[in-house]
Amino acid sequence: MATNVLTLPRTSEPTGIWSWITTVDHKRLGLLYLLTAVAFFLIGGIEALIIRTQLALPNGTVVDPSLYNQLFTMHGTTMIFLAVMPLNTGFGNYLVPLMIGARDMAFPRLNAFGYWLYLFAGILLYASFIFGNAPDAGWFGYAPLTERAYSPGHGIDFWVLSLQLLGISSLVGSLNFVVTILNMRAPGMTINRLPLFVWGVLVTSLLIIFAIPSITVALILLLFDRYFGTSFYLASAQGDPMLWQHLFWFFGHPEVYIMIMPAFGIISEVLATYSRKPIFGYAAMAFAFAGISFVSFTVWAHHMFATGLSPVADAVFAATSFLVAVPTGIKIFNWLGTIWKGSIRVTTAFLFAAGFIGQFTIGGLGGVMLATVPVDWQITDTYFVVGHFHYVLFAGAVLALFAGTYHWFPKMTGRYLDERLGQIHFWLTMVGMIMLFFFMHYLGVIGMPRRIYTYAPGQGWDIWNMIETIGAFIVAAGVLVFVVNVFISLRQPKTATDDPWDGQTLEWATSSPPPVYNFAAMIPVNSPRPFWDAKYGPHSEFAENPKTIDLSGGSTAHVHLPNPSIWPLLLSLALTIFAVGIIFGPQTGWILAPIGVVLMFGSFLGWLAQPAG
Amino acid sequence: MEQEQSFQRSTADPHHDPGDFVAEEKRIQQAKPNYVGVFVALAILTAIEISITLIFPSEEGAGATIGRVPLLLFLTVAKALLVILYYMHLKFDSRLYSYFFGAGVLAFGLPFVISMIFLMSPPQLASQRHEGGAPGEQRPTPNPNAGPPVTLKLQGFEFEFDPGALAANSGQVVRIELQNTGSVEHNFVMPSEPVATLPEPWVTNNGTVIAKAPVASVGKGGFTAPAPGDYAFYCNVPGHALAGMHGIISIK
Amino acid sequence: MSAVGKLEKAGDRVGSHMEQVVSEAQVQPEHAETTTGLDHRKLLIWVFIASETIFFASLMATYLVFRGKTPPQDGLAHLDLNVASINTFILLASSLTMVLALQSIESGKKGRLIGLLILTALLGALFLGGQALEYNELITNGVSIDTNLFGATFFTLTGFHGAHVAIGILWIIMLIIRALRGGISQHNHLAVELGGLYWHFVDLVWVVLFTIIYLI
Repeated sequence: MATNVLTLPRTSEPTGIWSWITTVDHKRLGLLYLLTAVAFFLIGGIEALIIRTQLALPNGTVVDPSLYNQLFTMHGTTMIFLAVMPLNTGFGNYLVPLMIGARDMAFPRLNAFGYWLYLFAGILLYASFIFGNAPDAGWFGYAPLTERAYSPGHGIDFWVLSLQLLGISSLVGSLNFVVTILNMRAPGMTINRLPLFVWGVLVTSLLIIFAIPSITVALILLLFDRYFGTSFYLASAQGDPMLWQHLFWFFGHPEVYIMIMPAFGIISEVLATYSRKPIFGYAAMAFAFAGISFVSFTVWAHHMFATGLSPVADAVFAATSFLVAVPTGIKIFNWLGTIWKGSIRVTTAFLFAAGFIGQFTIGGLGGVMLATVPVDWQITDTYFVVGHFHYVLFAGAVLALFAGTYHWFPKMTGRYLDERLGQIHFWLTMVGMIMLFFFMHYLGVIGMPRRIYTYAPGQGWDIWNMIETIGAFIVAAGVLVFVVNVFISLRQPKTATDDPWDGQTLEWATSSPPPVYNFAAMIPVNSPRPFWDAKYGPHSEFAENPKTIDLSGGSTAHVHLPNPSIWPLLLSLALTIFAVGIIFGPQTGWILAPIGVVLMFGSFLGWLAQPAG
Repeated sequence: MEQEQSFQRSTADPHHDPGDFVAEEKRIQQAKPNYVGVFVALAILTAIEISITLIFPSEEGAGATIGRVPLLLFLTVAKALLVILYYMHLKFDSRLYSYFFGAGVLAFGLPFVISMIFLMSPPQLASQRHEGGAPGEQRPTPNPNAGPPVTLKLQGFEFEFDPGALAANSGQVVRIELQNTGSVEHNFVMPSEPVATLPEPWVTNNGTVIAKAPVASVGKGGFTAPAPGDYAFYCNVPGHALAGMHGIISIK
Repeated sequence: MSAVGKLEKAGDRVGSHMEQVVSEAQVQPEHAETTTGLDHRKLLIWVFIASETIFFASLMATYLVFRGKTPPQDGLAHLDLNVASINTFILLASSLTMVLALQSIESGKKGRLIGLLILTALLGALFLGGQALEYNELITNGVSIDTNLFGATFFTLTGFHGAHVAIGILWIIMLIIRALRGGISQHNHLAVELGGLYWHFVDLVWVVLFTIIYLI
C-alpha cells in the first residue's frame, strides 16, 4: 500500500511554499482559510480593544473621532466578512468532503480561487489604512453617508470593492459546497443521513447564493453614484437612500444566519459526540435549518422599523421576525434533548458548546425584543442592539467555532490541544464575555447611543462602560491563552489517535491528519452516524462492545486526484488588480482596470487549458 | 400533461435511468420538442404584446379597462415559461434543477421585487408618478419665440456661485454648465416658484436638481425657463446654501 | 406514540421524499459518477443561474421603484419601440439557433453545430448593435447615465444585461474554437449545453426587461 501512496498523482507537492500556493487540496485550503481568518480575527479583536479602551472612561482621548469611526467600521467588516464567514468556510472546506466520504470538493480549483480572492480582498481592505483613509461609515455603510459628497476620500471605495471581491469569493465557495454535498456523497449517504454540520453548510451555501446578488447590486449602484454621477441613493436628486437599506438588508439579514448556521452544525456534532448519543430529533433539526433559512429572507425590513415604513409593513415584518424564534427554539430544545441522559464527557469542546446554548438563547431573546416594533423604536441604534448582535455573533458563532476548534484540532493536526489551558480559555471567555456584552443591553435601555466616540460623565453610564472594558481585556486574555495553547500543541509530537473522541461521523474513520486522498476504504452508511454504527452495531444507543474496524482493506491504486494549479491564484490576483484599477480610476486614467481585465482573461484561458486532472 | 407522461415513463421503465446524463439526453431527443414551433409561439406572443402597447399606449382610458399591465405581465410569464421549459429543457430534465431555479425566481426574486415596489412607492404617490412631478405642478413648455437655446456657465465652490446672477427669457431652453472648482460636490437646484413667493427655497429643499457637479468636474443639465420673474437657485448639499451658496436667475 | 415521535416520523417521510427528488432513481454506486447522477458542471450552472435571477431581480426592482420619477420627455420618450422590438426578435431567434445547435450535435452533425453557433454569436452581436443604436439615440438627446434617474436605472439595467450578452458571445466563440479543434462530439457535448443554458437565461432576462421597460 505504501508504494501505492507514493505513485499517486498529487493534489499538491508534498512540502514547500510552492505546494501551498498551488494547492487545490480541500484540507490544505481549509487550513489556509482557518489560519487567515484567525489572523483577521486577532486584528479585528485589537480594533475592538482600542474601541473599548477609548470608551472605558468618559471624555476618553485615546483616539480621535475620525479614527474611532474607522475603527468600528473596520472591526465590524473584519469580524463579519474576514473572520467569522471564512472560519465557517474553513471548517466546511476541511470537514465537508471528509464527512460525506468524498475525496475532494467537486471543483478543487474553484475552491482555491475562492480562498485566494478572500485573502486578496482582505489585504485590499486593510490597504486603505496605508492610504490614510480607512472606510468609516459603519459595516452597513448607509447611504447617503457613503456618497462622494459626504465621504470624499478613498476609504469607501476600498470598502465597496473589497466587499465585491469577497462576494465573488463566497459565491464560488458556496456553489462548490452545494454541488459537492449533493453530488459527491458516499454510497448510502442520503440527504436525510447527512451529518448536521453538512446540513448547516448546505443551507448556508444556499443562503449565500440567494443573498449575495442583492448586496452586489447595492454596491454597484453605490459605485456608480460615487464614480459616474448617478443619484440612486441621493434624495437631493430624487434618488432614495431607502433603496440602499432594502438592498443591503435583503442580503444583511440572511448574512446573520450565514454566520450562525455552520455554528449550529458544529454545536450539534460536538454535543452528540460528547454526550455519546445520537442527536435528538435529527429530522426536526434538519428542517429547522431549512425553515430558518427560508424565513430569514422575509424579515429584512425589521432593521428598518425606525425609517417610517407603513404600519402594515411594520406588522408583517415583525410577525415574520417572531417566526424565526420557532425553528431556533426547536434547535435549542433538541440540543438540550441531546445532552439529556447522555454519558457526558466535560471536555473543553463540550464546555464551549454548552456555554453556547445558554448564551445564544439570551441573544435570541434580545432579537425577539427588537422584533417588537414599539420596543425597537425606543432602543434602535443604542447599545442594546450592539449587545444583542454580539450575543448572537460572539456568544453564538465564536463560541461554536472555539468548540469546533477543540473538537477537530486532533483530526486536522494529529495533536491534542491542552485541556487545562482549554478550560482556562473557556472560563476567561465566558466571564469576560458576560461582563463585556451583557451590560450593553442595560446601557442601551438607559439611552447610550451606539457609535459615539465618547460620552459625558454623570449619566449613569460610567461604571458599566468600565466593566465592559475590563471584560473585553479578559476575553482578550482568553484568546491569548488559546493562541499559546495552539503554539504549544504544534511543537509537540503527533499523539492523537484516529478517533480520539469516540466520534460518530465519517471524518473519524480515517487517519489524523487524513491522507491526501481522505479514504482508502469506505464504511457502509446507513444512518446519520455511520462510524458509530460501524463501531457499535447499527442503531445501538450505547457505546458497548466496540468492534475493531479494519480500514486498511482499500486500495489507493485507482485514486485520481486533481492537479495542483497556479491559475486560481493568478485569476484572483487579476481580479484584485481590476478592483484597484477602479478604486484609483479617476487618478490613473482608468489604466489599471483594462489591464486587470486582460490579465483575468489570460488567467482564465490558462485555467481552461490546464487539464483538471 | 406531457410532463406528467414523461415522468411516468421515467419511473415505469426499469432500464431507464433519469439520473444518467446520457439517458437524459436520449429522453430529450425522444421528446423531440418542436423548437421552431416554440420560436413561432414566442414571436406571436411578442407581437401581441407590442400591439397591446401600440393600441393602448397608456394606463389610462381603454387600456385600464382591459387590465393592460396584468395582461402584459401574463404574456411575459408565458414567454418566459416557453424559454425555460423548452429551450432550457427544464421540462425534460431533473427536477432538482427546477427546484433551484424555482427557488431563485418564485421564492426570492419575485417576492422581493413586489415587496420593494410596495415598500418604496406607496400607492398615494401614484398620481404624482404619472404626472412626473408634484401634483398640480405645471411644466413650462418651450416657446420658439423666446430665442435660441442658451447655455449659462457658472462656477461653484465653497460656498458661492460665480456669477451669482443669471438671466434668460421665459420659454427659452436653458442649458446649465456648472463647473465645480471647489473641493466637495456641488449642484444647481432651482425651485418652481419665484423669489416673490419663495425667498429661501433651500429652507424646505424646494426644487429640482438641474445639474450636479462632483469635485473637479462640470455638471450639465437644462430646463425650460418658467414664467417671468426672479428665481433663486442654490446648492442643496446640506449647509451649502445656508453658507451663502445661492443666486438669482431673472426670467424676462 | 409520542408527539415528538410522530413529528420525527413525519419529518422522516418528508425527508425521504426529498431524497427521492434529489436522486430520482438509485443509481448503482460502481457506475455512478455522482450521487444524484447529474453532472457537476450542469448542477453548478443551474445553481449559478438561480443566483443570477436575484441579481437581475434586484436591478429590476431598482428600475421599477424609480419608474415614473423622471418625466417621460427627459428619458422614456426617447426610446424607440421599433428598435427594441427588432432586438427582441433577434435575441429570440438567437435562442432558437442555440437550441438547434445543441440538437445538431446530439445527432452528431458537427458542421451544422458550428454553423449554428456562428449564427447565434452573430445574432448576439446584432443585438448589441441595436443596443448601441439605442444608447446613441438617448445620449444625443441629452440622456446619459448621470442625467437623471431614468438614465441611471435604464443604463445600469440594460448595461448589465448587455454585458451578460457580451460574455455569452465570448462563451460561444470559445465553443466554436473548441468544436473546430475537435473537443466536442456527439457523446461529449455538455459544454454546448452549458453555454446554451446561460444564453437562454440571458434571453429570458431580456423577455422580462422588454416588458417592464418598453411595454408597461
